[in-house]
Amino acid sequence: MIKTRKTLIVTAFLVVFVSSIFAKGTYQEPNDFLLDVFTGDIPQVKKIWIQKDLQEDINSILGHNLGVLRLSYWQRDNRTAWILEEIGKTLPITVGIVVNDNKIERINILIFRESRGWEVRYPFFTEQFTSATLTSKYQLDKGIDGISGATLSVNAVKKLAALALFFHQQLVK
Amino acid sequence: MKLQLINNWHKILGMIATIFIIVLSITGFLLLHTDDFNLQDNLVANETLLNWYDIKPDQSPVTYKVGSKWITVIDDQVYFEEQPLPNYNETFHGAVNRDSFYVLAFENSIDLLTEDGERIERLTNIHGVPQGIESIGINSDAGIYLKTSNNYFVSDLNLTNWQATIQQDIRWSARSEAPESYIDQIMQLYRGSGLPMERVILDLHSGRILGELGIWLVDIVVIIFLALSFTGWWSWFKRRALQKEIDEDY
Repeated sequence: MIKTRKTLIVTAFLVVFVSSIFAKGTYQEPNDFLLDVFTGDIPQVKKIWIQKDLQEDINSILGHNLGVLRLSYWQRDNRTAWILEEIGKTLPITVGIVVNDNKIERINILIFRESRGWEVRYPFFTEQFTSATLTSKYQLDKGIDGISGATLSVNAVKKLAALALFFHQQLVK
Repeated sequence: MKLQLINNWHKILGMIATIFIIVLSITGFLLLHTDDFNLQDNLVANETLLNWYDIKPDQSPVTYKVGSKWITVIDDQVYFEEQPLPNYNETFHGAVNRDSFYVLAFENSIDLLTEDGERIERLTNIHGVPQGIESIGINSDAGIYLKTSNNYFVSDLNLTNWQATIQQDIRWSARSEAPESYIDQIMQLYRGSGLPMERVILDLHSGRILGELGIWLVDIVVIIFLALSFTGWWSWFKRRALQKEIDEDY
């Protein structure tokens, strides 16, 4: 009986330990994401310079400065793809976001570097963003359910979704 | 006689407990208001405390003199002058400067910085940057080169188009010895970033600031608090019984 309990405890520990090792990492190479989004024909990369007039709005979305002066994006017709980064707790999470006609079409977590909060990679979370738009207060118009134990990662992804919509708006307005 | 003895012990224990009550109350109050006092982001800069916590890097700092700027690597944190750069868990492999721009090479990406340390952009394989970078260099025509394990690459002006090339007259980025005063300054920044005020207050509250001894000390304080409660109640009951006896005698 005691032996079985010990085995169970060791197994549970190993499951948690091993899953946390494999949880972080590159889930999809950014280039593969773009190939997927543009069905093998990636358009020429474009750049958006973060002018001073955009900074204030970006700060209100992220809660801090963007940290870069220009960003790359890929556009075909009314559809734009963004590869953005935001720190969850201490390390950046790389997220691929596609905006189509001012609505989120797809969000993929590409690279997750932290040891906690990786559950945001799962479709049950990312699919909640589909069709979300930006309100006048730069917030998503849809409620996004959090994940317990992954609050910081959830917040980071929500901010990046709003940021991608904001940048898309700047390009099409 | 017994009551007198209990009262004396109660007084002694009470006086000892006062010091701990003050420390526990103040630290407890601060911990309740962590966000109000911004204790998580408030970092300790005190040398004695940092030494006490033994906060130091695993490896000695490595420095590069690039143009007029110093770039320092401490463990996996890179500093451009005194500014820490975002950590992507990638090994740093040197830097060059062209005009007023600085190009920092990491294992699978390059960072473009202005002279003031403002980050222009991070470029990766999606921007055509070769992977597995081992070194970065510049030649006399200001062409920027990357060395990977099996090839050399030269870039266009925008650093987005990298072509395989042969090595020719390239000055590769190399480590250089920084002045001691600068190293001290960076070390202070590095060590300071590792110890939030909240941690110190939490450790003060739990006694862990004194290590194993502190935990024992808090255990003793807990026993003192319990003893105070018992001696207090005991003394109160005894006095009450004594008073009753006196009242009855009258």
